[in-house]
Amino acid sequence: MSRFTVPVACVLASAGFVITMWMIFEYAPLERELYFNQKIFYYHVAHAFMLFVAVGVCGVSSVVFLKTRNPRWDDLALAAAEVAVAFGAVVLATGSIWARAAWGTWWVWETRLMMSLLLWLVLVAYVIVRRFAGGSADRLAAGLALFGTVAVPFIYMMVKKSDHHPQAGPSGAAATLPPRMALVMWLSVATFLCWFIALVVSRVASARAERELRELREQALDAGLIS
Amino acid sequence: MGIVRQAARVAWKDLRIELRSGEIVFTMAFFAALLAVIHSFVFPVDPKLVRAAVPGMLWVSIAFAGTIGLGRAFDREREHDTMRALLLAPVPRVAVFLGKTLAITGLVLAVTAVCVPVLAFLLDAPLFSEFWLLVLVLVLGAIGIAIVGTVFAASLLKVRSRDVLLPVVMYPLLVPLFVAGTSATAALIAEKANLDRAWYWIVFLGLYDAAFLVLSLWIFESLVIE
Amino acid sequence: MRKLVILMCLSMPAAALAGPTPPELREKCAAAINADEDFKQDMIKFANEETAAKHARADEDVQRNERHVILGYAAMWVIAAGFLLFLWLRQEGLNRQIIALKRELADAIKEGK
Repeated sequence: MSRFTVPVACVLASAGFVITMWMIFEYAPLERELYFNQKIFYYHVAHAFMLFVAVGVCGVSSVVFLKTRNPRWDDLALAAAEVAVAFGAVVLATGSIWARAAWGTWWVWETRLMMSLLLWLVLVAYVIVRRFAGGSADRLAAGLALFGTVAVPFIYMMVKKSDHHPQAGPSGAAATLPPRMALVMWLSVATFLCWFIALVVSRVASARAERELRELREQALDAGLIS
Repeated sequence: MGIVRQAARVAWKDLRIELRSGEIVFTMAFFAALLAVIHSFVFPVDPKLVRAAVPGMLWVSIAFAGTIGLGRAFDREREHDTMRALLLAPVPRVAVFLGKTLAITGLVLAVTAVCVPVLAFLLDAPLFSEFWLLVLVLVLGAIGIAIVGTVFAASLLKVRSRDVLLPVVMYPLLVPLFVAGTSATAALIAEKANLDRAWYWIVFLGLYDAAFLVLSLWIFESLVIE
Repeated sequence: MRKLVILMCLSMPAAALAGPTPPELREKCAAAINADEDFKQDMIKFANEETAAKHARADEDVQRNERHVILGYAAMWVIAAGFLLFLWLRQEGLNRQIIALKRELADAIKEGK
């Protein structure tokens, strides 16, 4: 399947890159209050959507892995988590650059920014566990992903209520977009969905290859063919 | 009924070992007191700022000392390979988990019992003004730390770098708990105690504990299978 | 005459406070201003200057914003490229391991024969 999916998704994504780039700078109208810096919004939001999609994929496949013990689901969870770390880094970088342009500070205690940061920290912990925990890392990491998914509503409640930081920034940006802007935004979401699929599928293939290689080597060791 | 009794047995076993040697409680409590002293040195002790700074100091001390005690409590099981015996015992794994969580809750509460008076003494913090509500907040916080900590300390038991990985795994998940605990404490020791806000965070802590307890009961067995 | 116009202009906020501004009042005021050629030119000049200043400010904003937008997109591409590099390096390492394993297996079979 990956033989087919990756090239198709890559072609779709690169077509999407070109089209959305043109649309963002030429087709979409200038925002009335934020002016030009609102142009960061389209890719920023698309990446944030993908971050949440990736967290969902990681959580669900972790549950399935823990219940079925089929390592294929573990490969998928790992791939989604790693891609999510990359997408989350983009969300945080573009978000803080946008905050700098629009509000004059690199970081504000803003609900969505803080949520992305905390989610991203859980994902980084997941990747660190996979890297350094050795043999039982898969189950441990699956537990972490599951706990992280359950923590999401609490993070949301916490950030929403938190008293020692003011709320800043426009709210509900996506809800009241003029149609042209909304079109561009959803197109970039679709583009990055393709890009996300391409990355995850190729990462899954590589994780599976790695696992099979490990198993083959163990078999060869057992058979006494190699030392 | 059976499970509760079995869990109590496991918890009592842990606490009895601890009562005999006192190793974890004494070292943890001393470490927590040291943290409180260090906090009182490194942060400004302007009387006007105390009310704002003390909640953070209290919860950071609990978090650090709790992690150390947690690691040590499970190390003890690893050294003599008694965790395997415990898991092989003819009781449900869930009972083992509940018992361990109870014991760890006791350890964390012992730490807070040292931290609170030391901070109140060193910084003249009004920690006792809403005493019973503060106790409620601390108990709920300790239960949350114990639940998440037990699940991950148990599944990290065989991992070589468990000492570093335990906080790396635990803290991102515990951030909501720490923020809730800090905010509740701050609301309780404010100039004019804000009970509405405190109750919001107490309910938050209760929900957090309940959600993670249910999740842990569901997942613990598949996480620690040998 | 001019005093009267100023008085009328000043009275407009009061009229606005009293209720919805009657359009006739506004028209009257505009007619009075237009009747005085100097005043009319002054007003036009003032309006133009104001607009020009606004445009200059907006232009500055746009330029500053442009830097941030470019920075934002650059950050995105750099992170994407970094991730691709990571994937590629991983795959390379994997390929190397496969080749090594194949060679070892081939050697073992040769020795066996």
